[in-house]
Amino acid sequence: MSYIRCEKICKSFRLSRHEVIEALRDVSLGIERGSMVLITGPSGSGKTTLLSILGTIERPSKGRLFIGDREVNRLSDSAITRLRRSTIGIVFQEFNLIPRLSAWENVSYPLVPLGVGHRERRRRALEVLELVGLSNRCHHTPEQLSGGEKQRVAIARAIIHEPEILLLDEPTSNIDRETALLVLKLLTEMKTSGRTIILSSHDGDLITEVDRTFRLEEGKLVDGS
Amino acid sequence: MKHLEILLISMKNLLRHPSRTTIVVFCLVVILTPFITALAMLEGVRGDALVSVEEGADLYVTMDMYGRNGIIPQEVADEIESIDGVRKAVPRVISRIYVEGKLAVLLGLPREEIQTAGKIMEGALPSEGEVVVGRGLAQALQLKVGSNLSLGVRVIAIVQHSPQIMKRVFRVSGIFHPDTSIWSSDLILISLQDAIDIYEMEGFVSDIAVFVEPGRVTEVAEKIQQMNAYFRIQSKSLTRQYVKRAYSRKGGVFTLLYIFALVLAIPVMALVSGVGLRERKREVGILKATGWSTEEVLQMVLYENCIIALLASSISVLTSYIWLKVLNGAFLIQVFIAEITHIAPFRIPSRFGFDTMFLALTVCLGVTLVGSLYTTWRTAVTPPQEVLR
Repeated sequence: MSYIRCEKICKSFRLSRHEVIEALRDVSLGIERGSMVLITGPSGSGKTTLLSILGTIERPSKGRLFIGDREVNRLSDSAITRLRRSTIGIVFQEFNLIPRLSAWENVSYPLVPLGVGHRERRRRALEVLELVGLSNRCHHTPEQLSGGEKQRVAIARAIIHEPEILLLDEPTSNIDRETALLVLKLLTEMKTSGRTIILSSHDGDLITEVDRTFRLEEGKLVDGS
Repeated sequence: MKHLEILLISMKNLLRHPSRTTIVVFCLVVILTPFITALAMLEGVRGDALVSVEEGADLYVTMDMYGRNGIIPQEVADEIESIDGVRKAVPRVISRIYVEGKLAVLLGLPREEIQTAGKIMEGALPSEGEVVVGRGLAQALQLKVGSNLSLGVRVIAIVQHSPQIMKRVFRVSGIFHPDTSIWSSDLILISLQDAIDIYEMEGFVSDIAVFVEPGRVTEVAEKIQQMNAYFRIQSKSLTRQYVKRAYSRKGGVFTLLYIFALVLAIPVMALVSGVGLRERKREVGILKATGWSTEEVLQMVLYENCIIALLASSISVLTSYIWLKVLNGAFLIQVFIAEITHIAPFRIPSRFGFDTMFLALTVCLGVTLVGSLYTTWRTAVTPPQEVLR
């Protein structure tokens, strides 16, 4: 049985009283533990929505999501939070770093709810920042960083608590080709450490070393090779 | 460890937004300072009044006159003094009096009692035909030691609907010290006989102050009552109750008005503390997405508010202290003490108790929490992606 399973997931957004957008329609898929998976499709096909549901930061309108042996839909808000803090790391397309916080502070915040002390948080943040090649930028705030650097800070934040599942939304879209290749190399290294990596990209040209690709079109899964 | 970390993050959050923090604290101080000042002043005035009551007589005896307090024969004082358990009985004339349009209190005491009536700033105690006046009255009427003060004695005729008052002139022999109890501010102290002459009540006084040996008040009160059924006896505990009730009512009305003002201030505070709300919402969304629980986010906001409340209430108490000790409660004292316009001519009593500090902190916390906790909770329980979208 797959480590992550979606069963007939639907997600709709109500824009107005009469206008509803169906972002996902009956999406069913399975992802094995330790694999690297690409979700692709044109803009507006529902990639980010699916990634958000897999990352438990969005609830599906219908359908069931399983992570390991837990059915996420049945969990309370606090149980989902516990699952997220222990198992999941997310890199947003827009990075979503907290302005006015330095890079190392941004990276270390996921450790606060885990009860890690200030000194240890700082030590581990510097460690992962070094891993993504940004140890020299640890005191810089997001507005002092380039797009590629923000991307790497976001990756560092997503991996600092050593999650089993790492989700990356369009990890190569906001950065230049050279940085994108560097990020992908980093992800490949992470995959070897047993993490399940799920990426979304509208253009999967650069992302070649994946175990499986799912293609979405207008919210429907059209290919799961 | 986690709670300490969240506390540190809350402190950093406040430092990260210095202008927002400053504005919120400033608004709270502006709202809270008059309230704290008034409460401290009220406590001080009430405390002073109670001290005066405690220092006063144990019983006050008057005659019943149409169901009210009426004058009593002066000789009754000697009869009361002969009762076993009575230390002394002092006949007094005490009355409200208008002096050149200003309301004052006239107190006539036997010569031997005048010595203990109050601390004289300048001049001497009054002899016959002389008065000692309170600092407030002296300032209002521009009186100095040696000045003449004419006191209205009685209406002698009505000319064209206007009463013609017979007056008697007294020499000001002294002025009370400003640190003397606030009750001396508008006082005219005079010898008993002069007071009796003014009111033309020969052989009568307005009351008799009875000082009793400890533990014998009830027994003495009963004996006085047995002397004459028309005697009205007012005990110290009854006076104490009147004082407490009067100031509780004043304090209550002020608090009620202030709570109303605070309720009106809450939307303003919400608006002020909501500056950067969009950024705060986004921050909450990010924290939730990176593993923070709703409780942890609320805890962080609660700590921020606690720090702000602690800061604002401390500054408010300090500002109130300065307002009272340096500015002598200017522009607020007239709410609590009649006949004072803006600036008091005597030292305003004040008390900053633990309950005043606690109230300041609670009000601050209440106002800031109403302005921020609910909105944060609403954001925190929303799925993070919805907040970040």
